[in-house]
Amino acid sequence: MAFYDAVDRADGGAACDLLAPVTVESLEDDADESCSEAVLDGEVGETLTARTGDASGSATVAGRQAQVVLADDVLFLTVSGTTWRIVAAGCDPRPDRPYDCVLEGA
Amino acid sequence: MTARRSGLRRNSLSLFFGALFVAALVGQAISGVALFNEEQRSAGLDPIGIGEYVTTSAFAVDVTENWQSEFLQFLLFVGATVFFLQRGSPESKPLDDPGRESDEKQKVAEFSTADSPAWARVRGWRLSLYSRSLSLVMGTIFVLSWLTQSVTGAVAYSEQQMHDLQDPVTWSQYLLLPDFWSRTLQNWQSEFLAVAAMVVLSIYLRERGSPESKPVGTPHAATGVEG
Repeated sequence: MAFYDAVDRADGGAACDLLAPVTVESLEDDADESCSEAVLDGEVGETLTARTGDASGSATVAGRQAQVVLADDVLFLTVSGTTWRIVAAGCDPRPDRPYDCVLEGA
Repeated sequence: MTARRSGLRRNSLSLFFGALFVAALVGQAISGVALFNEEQRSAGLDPIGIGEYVTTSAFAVDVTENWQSEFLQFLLFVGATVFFLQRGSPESKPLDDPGRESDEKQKVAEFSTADSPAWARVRGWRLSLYSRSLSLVMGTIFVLSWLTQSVTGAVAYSEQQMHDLQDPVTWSQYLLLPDFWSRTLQNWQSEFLAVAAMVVLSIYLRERGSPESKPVGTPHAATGVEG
């Protein structure tokens, strides 16, 4: 998956190009640094880097939202224009509650 | 009066409701896409056009959940008034003749007339089918609309689930969820109330000139009389 390829290469700019605007904004606000740095730093960077292994998985699409389930991660995407953007990544399931995601739009 | 104007007048009831339907559907699409784009903009996403919006599951489920309940309402109304009666209501037939009624009264087979529909003139499967054709068509539209509501509702629900960072659901899972039954029953209850109110209120109230009302001077107890 392109996002995890970019994280694996430590190419924060390329990773951020795949994020939804609200996710970029939330990440920059929380980390108080640019997206390209914040996506590789701290807990976010550690969690995402640890999940860059197996990129095979499945996707479920419903309208303008999608969920991608990888061997080591779950991501949520949305459509903006004609492009799919990542809304949340580094997500872990919680019973009867939304996924707990290390990277997500507010 | 020209033939064209005369034709318009003779079909004005269906034209009036057809125009209202189109206007309301267009209004629903315009207000729906505006609401949808409010949410898109607040998330920093590109807005969509009305052409794209009317193909979304969100629009389809909102449309079909109302369609199914309306067609169910008229299906039940058509079917129930065959067997159930209401003293004093113009929506009920006379109290002495519940059920499918005699062939003579229904003008079928040997009791048909020269201008009766072809399928009403001869006994057999065509007469049986035609005798129930109104409820069959209304029922078919109801079932198809409800089915479409369930399919598009499952997609719309999954879309919202993923928007909220939760797992999507399959169609069969959706059929057991409160969202499906809440959408369904909230429409059914309003349709049943409207029919019950029409049946009962028309016993005592009048609308001069309307075939849905008894003539203004008709007694409250008169049943099966239309204006």
